Amino acid sequence: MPATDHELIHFSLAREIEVHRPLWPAALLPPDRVEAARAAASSLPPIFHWLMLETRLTGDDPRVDLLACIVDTPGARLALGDALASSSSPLLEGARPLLSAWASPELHPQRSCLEKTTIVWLEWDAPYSAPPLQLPFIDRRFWGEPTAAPSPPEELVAMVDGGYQATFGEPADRAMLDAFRRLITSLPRGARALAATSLRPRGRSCDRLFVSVPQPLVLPWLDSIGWPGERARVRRWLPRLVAPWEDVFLQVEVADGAPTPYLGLEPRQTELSTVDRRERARLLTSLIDAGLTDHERVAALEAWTHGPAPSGADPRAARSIHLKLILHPEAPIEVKAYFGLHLRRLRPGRRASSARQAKTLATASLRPPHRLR
Amino acid sequence: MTWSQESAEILTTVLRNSITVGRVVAMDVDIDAVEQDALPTDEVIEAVLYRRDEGADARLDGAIAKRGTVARIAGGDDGADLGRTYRLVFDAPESGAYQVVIHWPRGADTSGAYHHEAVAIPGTEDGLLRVN
Repeated sequence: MPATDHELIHFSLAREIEVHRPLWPAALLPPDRVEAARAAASSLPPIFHWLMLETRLTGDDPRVDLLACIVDTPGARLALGDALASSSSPLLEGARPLLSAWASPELHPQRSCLEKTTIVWLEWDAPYSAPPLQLPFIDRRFWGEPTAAPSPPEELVAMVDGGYQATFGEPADRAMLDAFRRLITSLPRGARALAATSLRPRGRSCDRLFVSVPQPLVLPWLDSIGWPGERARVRRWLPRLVAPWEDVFLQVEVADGAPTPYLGLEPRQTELSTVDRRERARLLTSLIDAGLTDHERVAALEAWTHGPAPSGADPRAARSIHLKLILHPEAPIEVKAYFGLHLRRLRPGRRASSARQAKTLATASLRPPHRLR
Repeated sequence: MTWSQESAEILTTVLRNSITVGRVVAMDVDIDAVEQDALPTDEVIEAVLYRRDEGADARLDGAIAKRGTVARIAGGDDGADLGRTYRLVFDAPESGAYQVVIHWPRGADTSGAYHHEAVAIPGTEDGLLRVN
């Protein structure tokens, strides 16, 4: 989650890819692939708040996919509307209906849904010639109003339907919505439905639901929804992927009105604290031990956030890493790595960045012992 | 409740990342405003130890090894923010490596969603509390 001590600054994807060119790790992000992503992004307007380059820790696929999001920060919708009016980027074309609707929700039949959508992610698969996956969030607490009461399941399903209609200009499949309703109403206490997307841009008749579930409750939830995938692999990897006190970000696919064996699992692991770094190190060690990746790729991954930070830059570029472990039926486990980047500036009245501030972001720190004496 | 010199000694020992089995473990934790300054009320904060030994079954099960008591105490870290200070006490944990975690419910969320923060023990490479 973004640090609320900071405000997100919108930026040009192509420019930041270029500025950070020396830091993208070649062992995972081949320079020619990064350049292809930069070239594709060069036509996009500077309206995005977060950039990710997606690659794979497992296998030999060298693809680099491009992801970016717009957050509902002050002025973001207006800037997007202006950009859509003046930009002819081919990368925007496939997403123009949704983005136009989100930029001016008051003019759209799905106004209620769009006004509550706090963030929209787009994902362009290499070679960036197809329309992007479009991911409007349905949980208004995620990067929006974190202390708000949760939305009832029917409202969340209506958000899925509204997002689909704004994206494709037609109602969502009823069987899909019914399946999502079952998944959402089955979520255990403490879990949250976050977002939904259709895989139509990839030519698949399939939809994906993103949820957050407390780690010990993942397997019971999968049982309750009749998930047809391989539980033994979930049982094996879950404790290595996510600490028991944390939530797991899950991606579940639905086709023909029922869950498929696909499952995506993501840890939080924001690298804000010693504990985050330790947990991720344990996961990466487990991946190496299982023969799923190697030391070279792990070192390249960690170099992204451990590398030198430009000093004095304002706004500051913050680099991040997210991992996703994917269970495909009858196929080896796949692990994707997302190299993230965003620009942020300290809000007025907040303390300047320091080692203590990093602990503040994690919200808890031990006081020095002399305070007790 | 008063805090004796023994408490101070125990805390100092904790900060050396090693305590003796059978002793009370006490530590003070500052909680700063997060998520749009939404601080929890004192009575809903929970403190928990999770086993994190490599290879331990408890680690794989994700079992909570011990719950502690939480008491708000006076003070703040440097007066520059709106944080609060709490004393966490765990009664004689068994030997092992633990992650200290504090929990509290998320704002108006009545679904049971919890905010959880793992506390890193200072001076350690991995942030774990070790009881020998």
